[in-house]
Amino acid sequence: MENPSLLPMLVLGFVLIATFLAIAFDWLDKTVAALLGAVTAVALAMVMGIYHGEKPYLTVHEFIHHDLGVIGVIVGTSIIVAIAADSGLFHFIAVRLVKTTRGRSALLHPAIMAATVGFVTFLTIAPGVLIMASLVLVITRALDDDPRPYIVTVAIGANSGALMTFASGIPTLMIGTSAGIPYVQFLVVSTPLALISAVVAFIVIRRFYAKALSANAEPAARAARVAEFDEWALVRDRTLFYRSAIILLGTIVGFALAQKLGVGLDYIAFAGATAALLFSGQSPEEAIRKVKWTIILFFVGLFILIGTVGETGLLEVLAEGIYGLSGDNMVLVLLLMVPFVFITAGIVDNIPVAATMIPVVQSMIEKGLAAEPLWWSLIAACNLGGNPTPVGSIAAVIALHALEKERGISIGWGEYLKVGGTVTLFQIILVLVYMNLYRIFDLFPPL
Amino acid sequence: MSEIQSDDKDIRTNVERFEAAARASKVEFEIPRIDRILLVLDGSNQDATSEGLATVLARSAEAELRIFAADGSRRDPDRKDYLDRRAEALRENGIRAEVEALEKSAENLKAYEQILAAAERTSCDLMVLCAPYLEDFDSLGRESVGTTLDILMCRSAVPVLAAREPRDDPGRCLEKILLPITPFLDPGARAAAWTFRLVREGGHIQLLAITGDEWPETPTDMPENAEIRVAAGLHRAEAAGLIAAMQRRSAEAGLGCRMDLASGEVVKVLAEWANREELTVVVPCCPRDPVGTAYQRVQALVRELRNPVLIV
Repeated sequence: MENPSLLPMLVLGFVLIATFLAIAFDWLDKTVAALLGAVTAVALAMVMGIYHGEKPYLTVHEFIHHDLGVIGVIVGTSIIVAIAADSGLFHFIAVRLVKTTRGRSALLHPAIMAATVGFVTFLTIAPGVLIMASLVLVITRALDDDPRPYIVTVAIGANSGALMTFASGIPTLMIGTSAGIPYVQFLVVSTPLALISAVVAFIVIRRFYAKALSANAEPAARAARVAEFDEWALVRDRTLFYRSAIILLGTIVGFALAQKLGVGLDYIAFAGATAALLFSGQSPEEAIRKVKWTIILFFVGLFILIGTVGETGLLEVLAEGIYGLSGDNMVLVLLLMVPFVFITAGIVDNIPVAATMIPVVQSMIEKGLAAEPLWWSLIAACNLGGNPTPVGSIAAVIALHALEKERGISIGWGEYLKVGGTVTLFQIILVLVYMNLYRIFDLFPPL
Repeated sequence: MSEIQSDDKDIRTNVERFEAAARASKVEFEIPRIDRILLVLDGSNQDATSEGLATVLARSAEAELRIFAADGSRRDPDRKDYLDRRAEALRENGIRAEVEALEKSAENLKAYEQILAAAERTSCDLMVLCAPYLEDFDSLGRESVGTTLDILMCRSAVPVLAAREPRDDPGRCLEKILLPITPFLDPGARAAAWTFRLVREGGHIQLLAITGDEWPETPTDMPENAEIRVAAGLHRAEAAGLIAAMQRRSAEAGLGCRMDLASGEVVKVLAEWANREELTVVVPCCPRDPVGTAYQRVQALVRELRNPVLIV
């Protein structure tokens, strides 16, 4: 970028901030906000001559082209997940798991956390949280337990689950694709961090809700109530069970081998989706209808908006600002970046924050900073950054909404901030310590 | 906000599914034993289908076949010869088959009265015949199930397996059994048990939950979403318990079992599903009140079906 001029930066910067505020404060539907931001940004860019080349408008297509892989993975995995979730396999496993606890709170609470992390790992946040939040609402009603600690566990645990693998969470996928991180590296760096962060969250939630989590009935009575659940009532099609599980696992193995095979993750996701549509026996129309097309359009709007803002040089200026404050002192860089991302992700939404920070981190790497700690810290902070507020992540939004809708219980900002904020505080420290230890002991696999 | 609205439906559907698991009552059933099958022929173009169905069932249950034809059947003049030849052919195929003679005293009775008398005499566990009886399917089978089946549906003490459109390989129809689950055709354990009796080894059971405006326990304030409404109906203790029992039992028996949801007018939807491929439908007809809604729905359904149907 040569001689970036101030006016386009200020104008497009304003459009970006206005869009983020509209998303953060729910002034507009977030898809509409992103599309409005994109349309406005493109019009302003054309007027101000921000795009270059013979046909300047084609720059917009380049923005989308750059992120087609991410969109492909989201569409493909959405189809697989819709079919797998509908098969009843995960509902069945969830009830089996709950039954093994015999209703004992000391076991039920960790089981809910473990199942949430596990389901989100394989199903991504929205379907995983839908299943677990629904289970919590039904099981706590049967046991006459307070559902709040369990719902908060699902809301916060899901963000740890999103950190587990490349395809578990959308910010993970976006950053992983831009950084070109091989799938298997997630098992080395991201998975252990996800598990530790879940344990940290679990301990904080357990202490915070110690009283609410104490069982209010005889163990035998609780065991009997849990035993009454018949998981076979959740089965739609046993064959579909096995097929879904095989396709899901096959897709994960495919993701792990994609680089060696020389294909993109989007190809693997579409191959898995095709197999799911072929062998599920479900109506393809029904399965395809379950793809969250609003999210896809949200992405398209976001990518165009961020790409256009990037053309003004504003994001480079932001990167230079961080670099100017920290120099090449990575500890300082992480100390600035990680809490910033945690906080903004908690307020706005982690997806736009990830989309904005990707070019910023790329600029910082171009300035000579080590890529690995920056990318991994961004992945961790974007995912876990949704924890402090009840609107910070889609997991919290779904889980708390389900609680209010189904049981008429609302968890206010004050209560959520106390528990979520405490979890976030410990998780910021965890991410900083974890990344620095990996850096110091040279544990990051090279990118 | 649009995301939340769609999540409302997803949340409700998921909650209903878990509610079903929580409320499922224990449904247990014994697969009925078949010692004797009454195969009722009439010389129509559906006889081969009735015989094929009865043969497959007799073989799998190691049951005896009693072959009978009511007075007035198309092959009346040579009825005895015809039945003897059918019995001989069956015996050559390893089936225990005997001709059930028409009693002289029954000659002036209506066909359904003769069949009911034969069923009582033989102490059969199941009867197999075509509908309409004493008519080729092509003549009026698309418009009527015939008086004989109408009455047998009410009065038969044993389940009635009615063949409809002629099939080249009737045994294939027993590879897949469709059991509808709706409040008006509430299947219960008896129909479930007969479903397992009919289905061939390694076969497939298709459960179909249909919602219209009929689910009596569907909360009225729900969003108009078919899946939720069916899920709401399915969490009724007995429906959930039945599905659980069917799935568990089919897993043990190595059978496929799939539950699908559909929405619309029960007879129309069920007939559409049932006529898509070769299968057998199991429908309960209880209480057997000929002016009752349940009976009339079963009657309308059988008329629409092209595949065999077991009325339990």
